[in-house]
Amino acid sequence: MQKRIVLILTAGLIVAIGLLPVISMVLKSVIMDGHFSLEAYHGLMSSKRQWILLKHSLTLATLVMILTTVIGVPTGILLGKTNIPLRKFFLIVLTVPLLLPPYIIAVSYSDLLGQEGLLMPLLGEVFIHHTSQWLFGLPGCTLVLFSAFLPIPVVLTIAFLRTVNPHMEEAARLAASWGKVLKGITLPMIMPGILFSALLVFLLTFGEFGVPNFLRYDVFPVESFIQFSAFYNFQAATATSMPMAVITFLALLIETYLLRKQTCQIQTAQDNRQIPVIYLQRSHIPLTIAAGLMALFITIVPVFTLIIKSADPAIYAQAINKAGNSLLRSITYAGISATLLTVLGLLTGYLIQTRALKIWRTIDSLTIFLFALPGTVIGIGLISLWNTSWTNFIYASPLIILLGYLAKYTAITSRISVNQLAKISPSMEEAAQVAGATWLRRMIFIIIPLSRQGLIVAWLTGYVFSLRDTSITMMVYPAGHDTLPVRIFTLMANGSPEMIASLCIILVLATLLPLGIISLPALLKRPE
Amino acid sequence: MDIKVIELNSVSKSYNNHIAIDNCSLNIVQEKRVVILGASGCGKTTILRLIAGFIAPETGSIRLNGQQVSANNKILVPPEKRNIGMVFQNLALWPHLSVHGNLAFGLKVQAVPEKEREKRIYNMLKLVGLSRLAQRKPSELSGGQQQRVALARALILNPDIILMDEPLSSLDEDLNIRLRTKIVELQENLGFTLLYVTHNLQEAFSIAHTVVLLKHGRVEFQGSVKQAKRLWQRQ
Amino acid sequence: MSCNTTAIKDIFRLLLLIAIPTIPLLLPACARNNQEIKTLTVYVSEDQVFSEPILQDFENQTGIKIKAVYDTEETKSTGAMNRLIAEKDNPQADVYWANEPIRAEILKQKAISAHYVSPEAKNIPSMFKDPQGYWTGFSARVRVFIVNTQNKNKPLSISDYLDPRWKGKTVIANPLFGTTTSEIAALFTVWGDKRAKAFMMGMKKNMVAISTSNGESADFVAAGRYAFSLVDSDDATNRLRQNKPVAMVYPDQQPGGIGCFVVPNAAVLIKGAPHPEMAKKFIDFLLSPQTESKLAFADCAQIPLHQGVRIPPEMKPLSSIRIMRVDYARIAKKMIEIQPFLKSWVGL
Repeated sequence: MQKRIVLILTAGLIVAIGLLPVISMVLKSVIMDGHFSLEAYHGLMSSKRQWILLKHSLTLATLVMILTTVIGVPTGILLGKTNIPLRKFFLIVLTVPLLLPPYIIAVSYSDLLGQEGLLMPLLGEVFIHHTSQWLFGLPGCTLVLFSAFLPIPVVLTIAFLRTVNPHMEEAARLAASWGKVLKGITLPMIMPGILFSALLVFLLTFGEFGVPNFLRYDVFPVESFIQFSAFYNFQAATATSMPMAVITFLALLIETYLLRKQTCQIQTAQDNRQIPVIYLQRSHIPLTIAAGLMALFITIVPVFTLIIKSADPAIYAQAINKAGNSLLRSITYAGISATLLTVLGLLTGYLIQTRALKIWRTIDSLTIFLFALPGTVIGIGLISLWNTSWTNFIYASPLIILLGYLAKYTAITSRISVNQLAKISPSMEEAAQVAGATWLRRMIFIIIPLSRQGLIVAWLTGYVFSLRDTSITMMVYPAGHDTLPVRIFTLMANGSPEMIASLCIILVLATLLPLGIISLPALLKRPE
Repeated sequence: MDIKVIELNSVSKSYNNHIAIDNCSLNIVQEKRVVILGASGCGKTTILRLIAGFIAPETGSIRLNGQQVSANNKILVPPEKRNIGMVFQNLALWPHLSVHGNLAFGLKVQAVPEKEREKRIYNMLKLVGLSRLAQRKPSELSGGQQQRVALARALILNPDIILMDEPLSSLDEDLNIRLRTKIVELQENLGFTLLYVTHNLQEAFSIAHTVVLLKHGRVEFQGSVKQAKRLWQRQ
Repeated sequence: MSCNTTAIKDIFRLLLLIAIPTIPLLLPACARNNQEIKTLTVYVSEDQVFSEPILQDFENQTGIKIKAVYDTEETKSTGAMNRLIAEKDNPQADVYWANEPIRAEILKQKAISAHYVSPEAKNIPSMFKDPQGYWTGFSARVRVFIVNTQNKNKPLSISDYLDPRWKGKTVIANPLFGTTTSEIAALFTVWGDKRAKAFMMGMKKNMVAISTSNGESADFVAAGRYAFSLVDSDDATNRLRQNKPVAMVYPDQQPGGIGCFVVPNAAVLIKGAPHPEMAKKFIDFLLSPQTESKLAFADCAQIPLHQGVRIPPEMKPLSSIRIMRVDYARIAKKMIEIQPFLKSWVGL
């Protein structure tokens, strides 16, 4: 009974926070002058140009998804499962792009490789002319978004590797080399994680507008953006966001189809050992060099551009002054949001993994749909639902920002929890049940301790996504409560590029330091 | 008069169109040791899970100590209120808790005062011969030691009924014999009703008062060990 | 202790665990209603780097704390305007500082703004005020050419975008956003639809490039990628102050020329503002000659609408510039009419 009540409340919370605002927006998009009208949708479907833009978005999203998966998964294995030196350093470095708004990365690459870029004196005008042409278009967009989203499959691969039953790999190692074991045993076992990270990257790229706009590649979200930004037409803007629902539904169908033969593996008390490590011998030097080069191009190069731009200490002093309390607010809101996301993600993940309610599939799909939806749509939906005299005490407080984060990012922490919970034998909970423990006690004293690793990953992921959010925050933050990423965007309009660069560096450092201290030693714990 | 502790009345259960238990009726009397014997996949574990309350029978009813606890696809009394102890096939020892912690969990849930709790844990560990291993984690114990912890955890709450799902299947012959002797000894001293599941004939005959033979989800035979042995000899 | 009591206690503990970190977040909303703390909420579309010092000056002078929501460049996100529109039924803002009057007009058309005629508005020319008092202009930018000084010839008229000698050498910011939209809509009202459309198609035929913003256009011209672009005067002034090889040219200044399009800021009182009296005080401050002088000397280099305000020596006062005579209300309506045309022009 207790379990049912809590899980129904959880589902209800997701509906209230996420679905209701979206429903209110969708209703507005089909009601014009008091009458039902599909005019906004008709305009969208009948435009040839929109189909071309859709094709562009799908192309870009597919390319970025494939590249990040093909490179990110082996990188995750390299950093999470081998004895390559400087693993922690490479992991921190490769995670940095995820902390920056993708638009900033695009600007950095432009500052480096553009016609007035830093490399122009070095490489010459002709070479730069070609790189500049290449940067402004599909290839450039792919490079920038690949840099921005590569950390997702890397981190998720490392996290999901820890859920593989060590006996499975050890049994295979008796008959085959590590290469064959990875291909035949390990990768199939972490396939849910790989597909999930691919889905995340696909949806994030599909919904991205800032980078393609800057790099002159016309994409589908531009229509929704124009309707909001130029025409203030909420109906049309919402209508143009709805194809995201269709794309998300198709992506989920594909994911379900690919996972249909997936079986759960169960760990016992005896299996709670360290993960088997691949000891590299002759290949550790070339692989270290490869990892170093990747870190160089993906992260160090664009970040270095930012550092060069902001080399003056006086600039940093000015930037810290400009940042004001926004940095502290960013970290506070992200920390609280990550905690709430972890709790909600665990409960939702439990609901999905155990199929405790009949609507488990609906809840899973709903969270993914909310993740895919542009933050602006969610933001305006939140305003229309919560901006009333009755609920003003919520709307006029930073709590509204947290509601936005919960709506948008629960999918991530939920899926991480699902995978973590799949690792735990049901008899662990059953044993506690026959000992008389209520469901909450079983969750608190058995499930949560056994899910510790997964919950840490969920918290960190929720923290990063909440911290870097601008689309929702921009729409709903109470006056005077802006976060640092939002402030960076508002200061970009005629703010000095040097100060913007230094603000970005401050943002990265402020988030990496606590992340590095708290998480990485646990994540990369090695056998003695 | 023998008191019926566990009653299964025309219970059926299927999974994905496969019939696991088929119109099964069973009566288990107080303070007896009943062994359910059968090949893998015949439905033994399903019966235990039905009695524990983890799953509900599609048809039929289950009574414990005269009280109806499950009937017609509904669990009327949840597992945590059935006063049952269980030793799982994979033992399900909580890896993050020590031996002491595994035993203390249920006592804390029942809000047993600390002094009393420690006394009961001490006595139970002594009973199963693990007094010196209280602070070890399950991963630091041998297979036999883990079995005894699982047994102690099931017994410490003084349940009326103990369910055991092939608890000794992974142990060597020598350890198997020692532990099943211990199980019989504990049952006779503490007086609980034991429902024990195994596919091992020797194990069954050495433990049981009553043997139940399960085949394809149906009760083929229920009787004393002597009767069971005669049946096997004929076959 | 029964299991039910334990269960209820557990649920209570869980709710408390979630509530503890979130309850302090509700404090700002509670403080809002505290009459002892004087606060004003201002939504600002003028760039934060320029507007923030003005807000701080007001705070220092009056002791009234300002809580601001700033805007971004249109092409980076949606912001203050959308919030104002979405919050219409329960306004949070007291004042809107628009960076152009078209936005102020849109708010008037959507019944989001309130009537207020400030005493400071008396000496502001009527062209830059709403006749019904729903917005008042101040501190203007002017649409100018930024021209790379490597070019021997300089454009003198907006029609030079059609001149074949500039084919492929010109750039303009995306006409779907910002002041470029406003100016194009203004041309439609001044020239009429037929001539304005011909101009737009002519620009395309003359291979005009489209940038994402006025700032980007200015940077392209400064770098020599293009010969000239129409930008806001503050974008041009900024590049001049950075010693870039550019010059600023006021278009269509010849006798009979249509003149430069003027883009004033606009102060708007929000309908249903939580603090209307303080809002009016702030609007008076914004419209004052002192504020206009500060904005003139700031990097945004905005031209005062009051006469006789102290300005930098290199700045041309508005009285010495031939300006485009327009009706901003008509421009706002025209902007909505030509949206489909602009979209197809951009290629959407």
